[in-house]
Amino acid sequence: MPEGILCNRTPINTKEQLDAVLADKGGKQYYQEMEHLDVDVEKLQKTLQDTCKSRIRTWLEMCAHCGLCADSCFFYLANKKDPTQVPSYKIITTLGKIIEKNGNVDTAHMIKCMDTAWGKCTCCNRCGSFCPYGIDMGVMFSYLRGLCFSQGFVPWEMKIGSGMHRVFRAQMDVTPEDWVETCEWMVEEQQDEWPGLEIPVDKEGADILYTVNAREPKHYPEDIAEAAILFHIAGENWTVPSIGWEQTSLTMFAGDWEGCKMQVQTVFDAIERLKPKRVLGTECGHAHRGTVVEGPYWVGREDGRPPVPYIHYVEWLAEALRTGKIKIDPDKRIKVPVTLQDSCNYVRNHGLKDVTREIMSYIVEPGYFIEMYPNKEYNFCCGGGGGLNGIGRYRQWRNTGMKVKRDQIIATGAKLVIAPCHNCWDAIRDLEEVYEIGIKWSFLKPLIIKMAIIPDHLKPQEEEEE
Amino acid sequence: MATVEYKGKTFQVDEDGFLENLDQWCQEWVDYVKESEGIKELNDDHWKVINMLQDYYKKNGIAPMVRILSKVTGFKLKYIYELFPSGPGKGACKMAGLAKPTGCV
Repeated sequence: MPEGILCNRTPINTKEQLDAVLADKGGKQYYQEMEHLDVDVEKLQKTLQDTCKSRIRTWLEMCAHCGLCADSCFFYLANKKDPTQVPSYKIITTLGKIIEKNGNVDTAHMIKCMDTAWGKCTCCNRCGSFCPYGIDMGVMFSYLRGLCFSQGFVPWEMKIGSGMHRVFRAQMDVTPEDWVETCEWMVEEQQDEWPGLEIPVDKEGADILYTVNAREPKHYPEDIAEAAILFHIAGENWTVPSIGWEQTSLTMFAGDWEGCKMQVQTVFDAIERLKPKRVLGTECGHAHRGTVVEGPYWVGREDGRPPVPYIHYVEWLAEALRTGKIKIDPDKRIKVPVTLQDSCNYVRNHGLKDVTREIMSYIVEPGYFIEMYPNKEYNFCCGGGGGLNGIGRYRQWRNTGMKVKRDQIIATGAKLVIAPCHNCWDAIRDLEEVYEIGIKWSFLKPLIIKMAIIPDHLKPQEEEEE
Repeated sequence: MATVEYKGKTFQVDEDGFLENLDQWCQEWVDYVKESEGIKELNDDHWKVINMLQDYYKKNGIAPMVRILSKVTGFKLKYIYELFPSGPGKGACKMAGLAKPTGCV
C-alpha cells in the first residue's frame, strides 16, 4: 500500500485531517496502516542529500564503538545494561543504516527507526557529554526523527501534535480567542484575593512579554493565574501576546522541521509586533529549547538569537528574588527534605544550572535541600522527555526507564521534588503513580506564592481594614 | 490491550488507564475511578462535570478547555479541583470515560 488514509507522508494541515486522526483512538488504524506504508526511497535520498551534511556523517564514521556512552544512558541502566540500549548501537543500527544504504531501506527498518528514536531516546543529550569524541547522539536522534517524519513513520500522538501546531499554532486546540478569554477568566477568578490583578494583552513596549505552554490554557489555567500573581507582586510591566503566545514545540519532538519554523516564527512575529524589552517563558524545558536555543536557527536568524533577550522563568525568578522584587517570608520557607529536577532542555542544553540553585537558597530552609546525584548538566532525564510522556505505544518502556529517576529521588530522601519543567513535572507525577515512593512534586510558582511577602497595597481591602 | 476488572465488569483501557471506548462507560467505571482517585462521594456537581465532558467529547472528539467546562457548568476553577483533585484534564476526563488528552499533559 503506498500511503494510508491516516498514516502517510503528508503532514496534517487542516482541521478535518486532524479530526480524522484524533478519531482513531490510540492510533489503531494509524499503526496498522504504517505496517504497509512504503518507504519513498527517492524522496529519502533527496532529503539525505539536502540535509545530511558532514557533521553527522563524520560522527557516524568516527565512532570507535568504545562504549563509553553506555552508562550515560538511563534506558541502558534501567534495562539491566541491555547492549541494544547503548546509545552508539541505537544510532548506528538506525540512522547509520539509512545513510550506509543511501536510503534504500524498507518499512520494517523505518518502524524500527521510529521505535528507537521516540521509544528508546528522549534526545536528552546526556550521552554526548561522555563521548570522548564529543559525538552527540541526541542531535542525531533528532535528525533521525526528522527523516522518519518526512516518510510518515511518526508516533500517532506526535503526528497529532505536529498537526495541532500547523492548524492552531499551538500544540493543543486553543485559538487566540480561547487564549485571551482564559486570561480574562483567570483575572476575574482572582479578583477577590488579588484586587487589581491584570493580564495585559498586546501591550506594546512592555518590559516583559510572557509566553506559555498550550496545556496551561487548555488544562491547567491556574499556571497562568500564578504567573500573573507573581508579576503583580513583583510590580512588573508585562504583557502577553494575543497571537504567538504558545512557546512549546511538539513539532520539534515530532521531527516536523517545517512546522518547527512556522511555530517559532509566530512567536518571533509577536516579539517584532509588540517590541518588548525582553521575553520570558514559562516553567517549561522544551519550550525554551525549541524557541530560544534552537528556534532562532530554524527561522534563519544569522546571530542564532531571538529578536530580543528571551529568558527562562527560573532566570526571571532568581533575578526577582535577588533584587528584592519578590521577598520570601523566612518562616514560610520549605522545611521538608526537598530536591530539584534539572531539566535537560535548559540545564544541559542551555547552562541554567546555577540560577535554580540560587532560587533554592531563598526558598528552602538551610539544611533541607538535597541534590540528586548526579546533577546539573549531568543529571538524568526525568524519563519522559522528548515527547515520550505523551506516546502510549512506548508507555511500558518509559515506565521502565523512569526507574533511574525514581532511584535518584529515593536516594535523596526528599519528600518534595521541585520540577520547573512541565515535562519533568508530568514524569515525576507519573513516576509516583506507578512506583508509589511517597513524594510530592511541584512547579516553582505555587510554592513562591505561598511564601512571598505580600506588599500591603496589594492585599484585599477587608484585610487592610482589620 | 490492558483490561481493568471491577465489580464483575471488564473494561478495556489504554496505557494510561483511560477507557478505550466511551461505549463501555457505566456506573461501575465511575465507581472504579472514584476509588482510584480517592474521591469519597459523588454529588450532583461531579455529575454536571461528567455530563458536560461527555457531551462535548461526543460532539468534538476531544476534551474541552477548562474555560469551556467552567463556563458551561458555572463552576470556578478552584471548585473543579475540589471535585476532581487530580485535575479536570486527568481525573475528570478519566471518570467521564474520555480518551487521554493528547499532547504535553
